[in-house]
Amino acid sequence: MAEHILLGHGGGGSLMQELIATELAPLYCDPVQLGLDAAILALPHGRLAFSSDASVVQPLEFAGGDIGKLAVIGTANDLAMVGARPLHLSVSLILEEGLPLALLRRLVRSMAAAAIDTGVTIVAGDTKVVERGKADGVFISTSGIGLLDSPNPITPQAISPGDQLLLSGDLGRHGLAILAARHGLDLQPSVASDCAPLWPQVQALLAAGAEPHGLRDLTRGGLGSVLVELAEASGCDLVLDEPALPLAPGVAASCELLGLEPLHLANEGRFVAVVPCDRRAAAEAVLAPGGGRWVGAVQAAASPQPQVRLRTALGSERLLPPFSGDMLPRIC
Amino acid sequence: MCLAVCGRILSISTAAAGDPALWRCAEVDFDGLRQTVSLACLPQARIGDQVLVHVGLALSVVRDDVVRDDP
Amino acid sequence: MWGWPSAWCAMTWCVMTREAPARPFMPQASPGKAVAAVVADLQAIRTRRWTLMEVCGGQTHSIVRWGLDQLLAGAVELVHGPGCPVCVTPAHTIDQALALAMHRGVVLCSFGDMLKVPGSHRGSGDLLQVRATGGDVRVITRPSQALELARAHPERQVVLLAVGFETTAPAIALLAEQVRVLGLSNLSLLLAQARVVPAMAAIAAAPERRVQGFLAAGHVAAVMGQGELEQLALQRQIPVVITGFAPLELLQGVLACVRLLEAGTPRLHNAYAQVVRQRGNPAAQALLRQVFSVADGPWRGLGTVAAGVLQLRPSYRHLDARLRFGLGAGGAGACGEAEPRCRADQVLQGVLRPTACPSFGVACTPHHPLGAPMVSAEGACAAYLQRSSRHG
Repeated sequence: MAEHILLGHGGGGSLMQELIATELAPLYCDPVQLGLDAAILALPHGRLAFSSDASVVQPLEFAGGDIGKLAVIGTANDLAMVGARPLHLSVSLILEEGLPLALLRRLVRSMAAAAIDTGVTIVAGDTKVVERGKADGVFISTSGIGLLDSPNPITPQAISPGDQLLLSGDLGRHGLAILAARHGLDLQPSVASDCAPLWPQVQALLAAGAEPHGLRDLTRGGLGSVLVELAEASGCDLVLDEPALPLAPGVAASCELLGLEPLHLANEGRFVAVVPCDRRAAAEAVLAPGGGRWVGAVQAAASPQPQVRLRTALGSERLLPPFSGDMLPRIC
Repeated sequence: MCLAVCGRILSISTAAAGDPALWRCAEVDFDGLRQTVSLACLPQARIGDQVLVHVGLALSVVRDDVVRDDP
Repeated sequence: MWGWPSAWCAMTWCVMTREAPARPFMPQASPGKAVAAVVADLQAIRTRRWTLMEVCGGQTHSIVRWGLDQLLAGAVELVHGPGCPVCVTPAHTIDQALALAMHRGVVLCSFGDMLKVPGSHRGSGDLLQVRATGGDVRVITRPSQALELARAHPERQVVLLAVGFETTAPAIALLAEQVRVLGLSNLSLLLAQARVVPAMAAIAAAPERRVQGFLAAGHVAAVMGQGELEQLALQRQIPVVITGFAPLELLQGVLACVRLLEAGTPRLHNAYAQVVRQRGNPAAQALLRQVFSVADGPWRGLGTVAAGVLQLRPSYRHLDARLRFGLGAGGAGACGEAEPRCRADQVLQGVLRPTACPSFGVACTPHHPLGAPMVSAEGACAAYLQRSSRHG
């Protein structure tokens, strides 16, 4: 077999069949699925959650993970955030002509391991190949189904003044790992992505009776962007206690040097939980072993436009700086 | 202006050819992040010095021993 | 004739208070307590409310980020001056950068701060948009990256949009000298280097001046030393305090300035002595003298500032991107705006609070800025947006 992906691997002929049988089969626990146009599933009774994602990260491999691990865990985590146990995933690959097969094998191994870690089975997928230069190596699209475990809907509309904000762990590892990989930053000790399944912590929160009013994982745009969305959706102000925010080692120094806002760094294994005031202790007990902690509270909006406010170590307040989506380093 | 950060000099090197002052560099540790920094404007800087760095150029040696005075 | 600070002899020396024990400048523990102590000292000595101006985007950023103006409410009004080089880079220079970035064969390198600054024509876009439509725009964090790019790609013309004050100027001068020594013919500079003290002098000389004291940019002073600032304080009879950037350092600078105001002694004081020496950085100044000369030049929103910009000396003029690409200098009209609703000129001079501008937060936001002070993370207008609405 060739050592690189060729256009023919996406052509629907023998090359593609060989690619699937040899390289992609490890993704599927049931080889019968490989021969069908669609997966046939027997689902447990109850309400289902459904989510979809696309992964386009560069570089494809970085400390603590790769695009494959991100894709599988990312969709599973989206399901977890509505209180659903992740069950099944589909994985669609868009491969760039010229992608080394050795790299593809590593990504497949990584996805298979992530699926086991997350407790999902990959049941469907698709593979296409585009010309050299049209796909940045690999693009991965995943969709997933989960079974709702939470009795009450976890929607931002449930968030009310008096609710408490908790983080499941420290901030910025994934964003910093990607920055380090992209820009050749020499971090001592090196920082690895925090990419990890969130369902175990969510399940423990639900089992402990935390009754979360909101759960959001902190991916692109970081904690800052999630809180802006929650504030707008709930119509409430969110007030963070800045000294309580746990920044991962190296994040503060790197952000200061590059002029970046730590609260906008991406995370791939962290979430924020919004719980009723009387459930704060129960939630803290669940999240503390993973480095999680209380970080703030929900208040009635002080102005027509709900805001995210930060209370500094000096007793003053500031608003979260706006984030349009571009992480631009500054020198001023 | 201007975002400048303090870091500690871990090692110093010069280019093999050319004016050594122009190419004199240091590896500087900023609380775990290490970067190569030019010492072209700090010929007196030594290993172990804490230096103020802006856009990759060291501008001043930071002195912890300065006693603050009031006007 | 203008003079570099080393030509001035020191007129004052700080007197050490012998009875006080050595106090660390930035105590690691309990920043809140240390800060509260400085604010208490200030409240104890002041007899009225004072208006101070800082002329440093980094200090603007720190003040807003730490809410220092809240801690000083009632005691001191902090006005943000034209200390943001992003905000004062002439609009015409942005237009030239946009044009160059669209050139095939050109790689336009810029610090991230400049990527969203609009040009002089409505709809001209910004560097990010040019990148989206095919221009080769690279974000760099240090000038040496432009050098590496030029050496790695001899077939491309690398242009560095060199924006900044005297803190950044030595790094640009170093790059120019390295390029000259290496004999590289594919790297040039689109220069927008400005000098802070002349702008401070212009503001201090304005008849409608409300500013009673200056906080001087600590990192500019680390390079340039104290001489020019001493001259400013004496000539304009206004206290000037060289100040750092951490919240405690900033408040110590404010306290020192208020002390000078209460005593009626308009002179220079260095409150950032751990970094700033009397004569600044001689090696950096020598490099600046070698590569640059001082000239009158346009500041966006302020008009022409006497001795306000740096330009390349003849032996470095071959590195001038405007000459290399036939772009033209721009002239005095280069600082004009096509956006009539933008009041950046009044904001930058400290005579208009951003919140008093009718477009503030309405027609003018960071996502749709009418002018530069709303674009930069430390422009005065963007800074005011980050103030919690409960504190105004």
